[in-house]
Amino acid sequence: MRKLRIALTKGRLEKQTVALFEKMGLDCTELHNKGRRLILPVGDYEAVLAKAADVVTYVEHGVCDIGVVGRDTIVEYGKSFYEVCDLGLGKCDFCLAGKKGASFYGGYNVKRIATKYPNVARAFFQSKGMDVNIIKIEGSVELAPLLDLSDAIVDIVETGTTLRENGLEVYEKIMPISARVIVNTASMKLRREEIDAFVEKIGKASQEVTV
Amino acid sequence: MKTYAKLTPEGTRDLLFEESDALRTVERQLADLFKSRGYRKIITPTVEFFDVFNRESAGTLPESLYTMTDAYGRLLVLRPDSTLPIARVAATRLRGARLPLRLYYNQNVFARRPKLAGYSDETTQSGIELLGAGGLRADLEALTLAMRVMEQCGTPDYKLEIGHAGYFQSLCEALDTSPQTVSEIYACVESKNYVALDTVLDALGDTPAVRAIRELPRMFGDARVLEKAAQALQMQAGETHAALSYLADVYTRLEKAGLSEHVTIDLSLVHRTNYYTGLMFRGYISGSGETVLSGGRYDRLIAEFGEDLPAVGFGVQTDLLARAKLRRGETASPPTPAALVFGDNGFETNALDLQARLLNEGVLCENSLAPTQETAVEYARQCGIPTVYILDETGVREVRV
Repeated sequence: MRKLRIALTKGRLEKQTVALFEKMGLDCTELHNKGRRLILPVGDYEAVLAKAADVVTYVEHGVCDIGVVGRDTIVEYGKSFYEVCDLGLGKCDFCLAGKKGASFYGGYNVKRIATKYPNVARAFFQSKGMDVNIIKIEGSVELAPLLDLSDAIVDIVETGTTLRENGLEVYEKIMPISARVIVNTASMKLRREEIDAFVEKIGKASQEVTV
Repeated sequence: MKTYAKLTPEGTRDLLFEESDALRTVERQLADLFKSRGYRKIITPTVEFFDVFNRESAGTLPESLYTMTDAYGRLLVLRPDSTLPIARVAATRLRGARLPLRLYYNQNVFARRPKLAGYSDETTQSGIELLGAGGLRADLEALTLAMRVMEQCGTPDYKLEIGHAGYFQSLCEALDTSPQTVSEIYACVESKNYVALDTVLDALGDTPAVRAIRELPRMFGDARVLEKAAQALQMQAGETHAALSYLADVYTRLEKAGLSEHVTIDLSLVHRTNYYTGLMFRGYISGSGETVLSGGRYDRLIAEFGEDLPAVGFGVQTDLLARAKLRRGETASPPTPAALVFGDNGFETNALDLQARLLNEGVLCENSLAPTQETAVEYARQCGIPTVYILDETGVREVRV
């Protein structure tokens, strides 16, 4: 049987996850010297480095058994897998934000919302019974209200520094976000013991980090 | 206007050679399994009225249906499932038939799936429905048949998980909360989103039912799970829970039959199709990240069509089984013909006659469409066909390649 394959989110979360792996006692030398390789041995596991949205895709299809990915991606892409553990890493919030002092809910005009997370934004405004016009933006979403493309943005906010420096403010928090461990449904059934052991170890390591 | 003439619609595919062979092999294996046990084949229309599927119990998402209208503007759908049409048939044309009814099907179903995610909208399913029989005997027949399917068409390490619709239902009833919250909880459990589940439950206080739902993600494994569930519910000695004791009963019997190594109990099993009323099960094989088999007992569904019949059944994703078979390299390419027949000008039909005779004798034989004897022999050499029969005015000649 092949080694358990774990998909890691590249970038900021990657460093924190690798730190957790080290705390778990896994040999991460290959991850530190990865060069351009994308599949790397880590202890008894195989690590795959991918963009967040691809992590959920790989896990959903079962080509990776386990994934470490932000809750923002899980909510936005809404795929089917086990979400088993909150690692408490990369904490931030989904927020509705816009120009400081503007009254977002005032008036009867249909609001324009710029976001990288159209599904999250749609669900949020649906729950409020509001009809809004959503514009998908790929890069710095904060630009949209500054350029008067949109009335507000839905985005993840960690410290709020970018917002403040650009004269924007949080109108409303939508939901808290942090990194989660996800597991493919079939893998969970077929390789339960190995997966349980991994999840328990990483859960424990994450508690030590956050305490 | 012809932009799409060379494409198939998104979510559909052409199946060629190995792929279609593998699919047909799986389908034949399943048909043999079902037929030999007295199940008879049923074929329902590809297009049905929307009303057949437009019911709460079906759990079909409206955005996942392929819809169209008939000449009178009535809403039609490409069937997203075979069980509901069979329930319709059972309550109408099969009303009064001798029970139990054992039916099997093998047909395509259609559902709009997320785009660009590697899924097909048109998939193939085989399955059985055992109608007019309630209780353990029928459940065991369906369960062991499902296991037989997994064993023959899946992988040796397959897993079948069993659960019971009554367990989750009883927990929700004990919650004493709004239907809105219950359906939220249902959605969280169905999508296995246990972090969101905790958030919903936090608002409901701390009762045995809340604790038991919180424990759901950990409620799968062997028979010990049932004891854990009893503990979570704070059941007193002597107190029983119908769903839990039923599962215990089923598990013991499978254990006695030597099948329990493949069986896990999963109390968190809930289906989007919420017509299940009792035993539920799902099958998994290595090499496929999706559920390949899914079924259970649905005692109240056929009554929705006007005939009160208990029923149990399951569906198998034959395309997933076929794909896994291909990946394991378990498909044989068709054998090379043993002979080629070539009829010279004016002897074409004689060649076809000879081909028919040889095939009758069991010799795999191809008809040559080459223009000359030489090119026919050359073709046989390229294809690795050892013998060429040449028919001309001198009669039949056999050429060894």
